[in-house]
Amino acid sequence: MIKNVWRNPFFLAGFLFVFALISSSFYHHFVMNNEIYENQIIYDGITPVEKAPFEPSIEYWFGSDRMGADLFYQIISGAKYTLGIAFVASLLRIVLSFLGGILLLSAGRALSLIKGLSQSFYYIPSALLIFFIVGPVISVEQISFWEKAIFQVLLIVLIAVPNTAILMKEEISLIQQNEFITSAKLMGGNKFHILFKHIMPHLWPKLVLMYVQQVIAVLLLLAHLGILGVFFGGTIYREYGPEFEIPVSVSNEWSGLLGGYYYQLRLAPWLVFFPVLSFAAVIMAFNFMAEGIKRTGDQLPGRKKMKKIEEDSEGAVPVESFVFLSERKIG
Amino acid sequence: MPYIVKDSLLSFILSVIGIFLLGSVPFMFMGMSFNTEGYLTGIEELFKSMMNPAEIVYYTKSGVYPLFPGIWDIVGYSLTILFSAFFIALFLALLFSIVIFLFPSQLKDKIRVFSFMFESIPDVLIAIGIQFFIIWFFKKTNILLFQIVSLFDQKTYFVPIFCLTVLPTLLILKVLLINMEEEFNKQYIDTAKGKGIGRLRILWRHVLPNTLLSVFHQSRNILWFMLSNLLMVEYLFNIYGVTTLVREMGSPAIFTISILLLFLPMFLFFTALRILTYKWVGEK
Repeated sequence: MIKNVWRNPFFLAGFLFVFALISSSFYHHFVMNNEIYENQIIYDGITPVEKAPFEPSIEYWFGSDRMGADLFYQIISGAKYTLGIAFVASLLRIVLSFLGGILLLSAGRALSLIKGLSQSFYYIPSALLIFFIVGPVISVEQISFWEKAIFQVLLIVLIAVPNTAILMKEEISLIQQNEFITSAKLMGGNKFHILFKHIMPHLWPKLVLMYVQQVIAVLLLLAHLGILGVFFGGTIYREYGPEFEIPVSVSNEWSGLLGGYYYQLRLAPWLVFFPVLSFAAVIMAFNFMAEGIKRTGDQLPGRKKMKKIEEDSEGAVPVESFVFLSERKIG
Repeated sequence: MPYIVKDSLLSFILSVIGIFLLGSVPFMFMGMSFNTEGYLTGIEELFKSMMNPAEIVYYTKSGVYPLFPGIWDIVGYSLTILFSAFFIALFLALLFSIVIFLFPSQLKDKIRVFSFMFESIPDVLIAIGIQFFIIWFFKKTNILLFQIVSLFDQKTYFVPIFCLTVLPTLLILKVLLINMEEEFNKQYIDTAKGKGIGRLRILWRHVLPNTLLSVFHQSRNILWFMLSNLLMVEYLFNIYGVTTLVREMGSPAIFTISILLLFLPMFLFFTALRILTYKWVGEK
């Protein structure tokens, strides 16, 4: 069933978009040496015409920042990091929730307690919670960049685990209600045998769908954290003019771009708009994938056949198969 | 009915404990290392400071204020925006679903097929898009449509509520469209049609109430989603609401009190919905 997903146009469209984005990001990294074109002043001959930031034009597709760096290439270059974080964080979310879900299966009466406690997550916006916890840690200077980054990713992962684990447990119990599980138990299969041989094949498609949905959630969270200025890509200060220093994202990671450019919203709106738009485009692509998976999941082989039969029985009678009696040529 | 009251009370107590536990998480980290002992004393500390709410203060640019009674105003403002956006979204989604229902069926199918795309638009895009539009309009025509940025003592309602309404409307509309389709395939609809009841009357009297139930089931997720939206809207439009208070203060006591005050009306709302659906269809 999960193989059929490749034949679904929705899934394919989303997948191709993400694939193209990542491969162009790696192409930019390895073939073009991760260089971003920077040019602060455009000359016409020798007379300066325009000074950075440039508006979006044919030369600068997404415009440029105050350093004259091309935003389009920044976004392409940052895509691998942003998507990489999203992929890794959601994978960890799913793995931990899966383990948690299995633990919850044998939780017994403690289950309602855990369910009630994890309800509290529904009353706190997740970006605010991360901001609240990360805030004091991030301001400590002795901690290295990588430690901070790992800490943030771990928080992003952990914050979703309780509720996803409960969801996972419910999915597993739903499968456990099937009759074949009872027969497997009666035939003496132990817990792990039943889990891996009988439950997992049914759980796989749901896990894949949940994974894609988690990627969407993580991307949204990254966009929020970016706007709030909780950097991911690391910040360095670059000289701008003789007096000013402005924060710049090192890795061009998207939420870093957003946070860095947010203060230039009024001056150069495209600098905020295009990173947000790229987030939107990628989230849209993943939604297409999720929809594709849902659809192939609904299309069980049995149902497909029935539809075919229905179509056949309702098929129109071809015109030449009958002739009115009055029009019939006799003899 | 007694079951609902008992269950709600239990989940109320557990949620409050959960919020407490989350509020004292910052005590857990000494720099980067986990510190379980610090966490336990942190919970105690938080509890103690919550017992003396009069001593908690918050800062703004203009000075230091005691948290009470100032917080009522701040929380009230956020809740007004949140709930008015929710009800407007519900109303608009109902309206749109009826309008879409009147479309020819081919178009209707297409809208339903692509309704999953409604979820794809990030809230940030909408808030920033609206800001751009207002600025652009101002630059072109010199008419400031709405006050974009609210100052501390001056409250704007229209723009934030509008921003907060767009996505939930689409979300509720999607739920309505999918469930309406399911509902229309049920047998009692055939019976109603057979009795010669008009399509619109079936929609209004039978299908809509039943699909509204599914919106009620989803209301917790929708409001949670809207809370994230609220965070962005308050940040982008510089509104001094609950999330701004929590963000700028960052103190565990203020976090816990604010979230509890946010939690209380939402919880009451969900419980009211639960009792309502119980009275209506006998569903626990």
